[in-house]
Amino acid sequence: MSIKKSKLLINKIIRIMTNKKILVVEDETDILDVLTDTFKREGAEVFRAEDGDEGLKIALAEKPDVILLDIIMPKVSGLDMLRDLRKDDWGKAVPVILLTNLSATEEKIIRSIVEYRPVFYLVKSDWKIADVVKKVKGIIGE
Amino acid sequence: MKLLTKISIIFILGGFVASFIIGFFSFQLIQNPFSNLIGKEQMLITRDAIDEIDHLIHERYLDIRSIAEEEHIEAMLADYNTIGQKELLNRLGELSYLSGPWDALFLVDIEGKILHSAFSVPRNIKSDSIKDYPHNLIAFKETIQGRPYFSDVIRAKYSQKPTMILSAPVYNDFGPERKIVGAVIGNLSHGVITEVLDKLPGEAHIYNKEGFVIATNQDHQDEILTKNISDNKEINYQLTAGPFSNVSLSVDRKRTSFVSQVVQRGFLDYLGSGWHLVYEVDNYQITAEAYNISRNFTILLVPAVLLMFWMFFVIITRFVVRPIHGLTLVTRDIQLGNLNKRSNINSKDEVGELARSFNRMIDQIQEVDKMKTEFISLASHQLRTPVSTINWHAETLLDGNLGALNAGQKEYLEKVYRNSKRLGRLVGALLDTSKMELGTLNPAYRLTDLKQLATAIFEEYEIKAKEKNIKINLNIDDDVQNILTEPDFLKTIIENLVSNAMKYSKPGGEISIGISKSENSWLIKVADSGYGIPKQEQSKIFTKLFRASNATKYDTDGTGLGLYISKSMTEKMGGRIWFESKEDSGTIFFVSLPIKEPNNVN
Repeated sequence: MSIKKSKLLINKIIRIMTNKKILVVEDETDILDVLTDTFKREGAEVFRAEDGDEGLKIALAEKPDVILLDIIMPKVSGLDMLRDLRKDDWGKAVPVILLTNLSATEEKIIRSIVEYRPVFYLVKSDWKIADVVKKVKGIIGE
Repeated sequence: MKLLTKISIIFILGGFVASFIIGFFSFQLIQNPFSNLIGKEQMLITRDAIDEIDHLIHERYLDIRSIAEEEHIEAMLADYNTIGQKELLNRLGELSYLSGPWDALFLVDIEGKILHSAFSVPRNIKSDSIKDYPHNLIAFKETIQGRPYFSDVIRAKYSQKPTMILSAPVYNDFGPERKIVGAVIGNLSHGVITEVLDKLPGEAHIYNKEGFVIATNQDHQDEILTKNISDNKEINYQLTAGPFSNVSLSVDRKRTSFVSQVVQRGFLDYLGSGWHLVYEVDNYQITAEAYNISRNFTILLVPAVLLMFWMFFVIITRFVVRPIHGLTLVTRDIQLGNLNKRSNINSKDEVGELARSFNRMIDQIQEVDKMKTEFISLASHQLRTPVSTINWHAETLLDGNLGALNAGQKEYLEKVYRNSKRLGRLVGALLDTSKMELGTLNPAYRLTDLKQLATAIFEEYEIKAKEKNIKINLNIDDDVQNILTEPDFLKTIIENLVSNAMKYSKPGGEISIGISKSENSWLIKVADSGYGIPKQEQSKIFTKLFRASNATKYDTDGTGLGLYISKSMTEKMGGRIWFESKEDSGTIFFVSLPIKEPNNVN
């Protein structure tokens, strides 16, 4: 790729992510940290929550452009939060990406895809972090 | 030895032993009553013989008396001539003829002169005086005194034969007073007694008062009037023990003897002959019949008992051995890995108890197995989280997002990343396996860009292939590009096959991946020119944790789960997986999957 093209690409990327708000809801601190840092580097404003309760509050308060949501969490699970989120007028339209380490064939996920309409789900162990970033950008860009 | 065989042998042997014991005892038990029966029969025979002898002698006496009472005889002896001599003689001749087997017949007057005699035996005395016949003289002397006479068996002087003498007095009924005018004397052959004894099946001897043999049915006729009872101590004891009218029985091991007094009735009542019949039979003769009957019974008994034992055997095998065998068959199924099998025996007895207990045991094993699998599942889940955390951090560093890395840092970090990925693959394999066993592996069909999926895998392995100097190529038909399938399953399967092909290829070899479509199915083909699979191990290649003997040489890393998972996933999708392989030549794996129509799947 030529330098010109890559600069255009970088601008494009920065354009995509600046002034965007991302909410990451994840109980694993290390994953929460690495995702937060990665998106901050991309220029976005990152909000964090470690459980579904907190996540719902922040979501409704800050109204992020995209939510990355872990499914398995203690106290209130990701799916429970999603259900409550979708009851809200604003909440029912916000794009939500489900993060999980359950494989895609688990029944719960299939049900939630139908019911609560996450825009996407991904299995953490199957995805490179760079690809996750690409996916999020793709969704924000739409 | 099989249980059935053991039991049959026990029963057959037991049957034989039992039937022989029963046969033996029944043999003994039967014989005694029979012997007694036959013994009694023999006793009756002797009694009959005795009665017959008695009757015989009595009859002969009556003959003599009727002759004595003949009118003409009376007249003759009284000196009255009513008819002529010649006619008289004729009459006498007739009489002697009709009167039975007399050896000799004498008509004697009061002085002892023989007025008439008839002989049916050769004689060496010819006289007309009774005095010349010593034994007959004794008879004469007794009879003219009015006493009827019966001699014991004596040896007649004129014939030298054993003879019995019977005589009766002749009375004069015509004169003024009744007086004896003469005697009729008959000599009877002792053969008449012998005839009676001949009818007895055993050995019969008659002993007189003095203990001499006077008749026998044996061949030793020379014993007559020579052998004495004192030669036989045992019988002698019985005779001397006192007069008895019952038959006494003595039994020794071989012979049974009946000793009985010849009981007189009729005219000899008061005289008493003092004879004894000694009748001996071999026990065998008595028991032979009994023996035969009981032997025949035993011969029928043995097979009957055997049959009965065999029936018991059949019944027992039905209730015991068959259920046990059924239980064994169930255990075999379970050994092959099918923990779902249970025994269907449900009787209320001990065998049913065993079967139910067995079923509960398998339930428990299944439970434990499930818990083990669930544990693996849980652990694998837990393991995934730190693995993905490590991966993302490593990727971030390797992408240079936290600053540039020097060559050394990059190298080491790459190793961390590689091994983390490897760990992730192992965990994934464990997870997939446990899901398969728990039955929670469910395909989620969706429209997939197969080309993209396969290409991604191809690109990943292309790099590795270059490192190992292996040529790798990909061929996808255009019409399998967008297809309804399970992408996660496919990813696992194709990755597994390609990874295997890589592992077991020789440097300079070639791997080709092909995806094509036919009538109503599509085919994945992964071929390599590597080490192949040894023929004797080909049947086990899809089994869990199996690794061919030549595999560990080239890759110590493999779990042995890959093909097991690939097969399970293929079959879950309704497809078929197989291979062709030649050792040192190469292997081709085929996966055929049915084409799914969008409408059929949720």
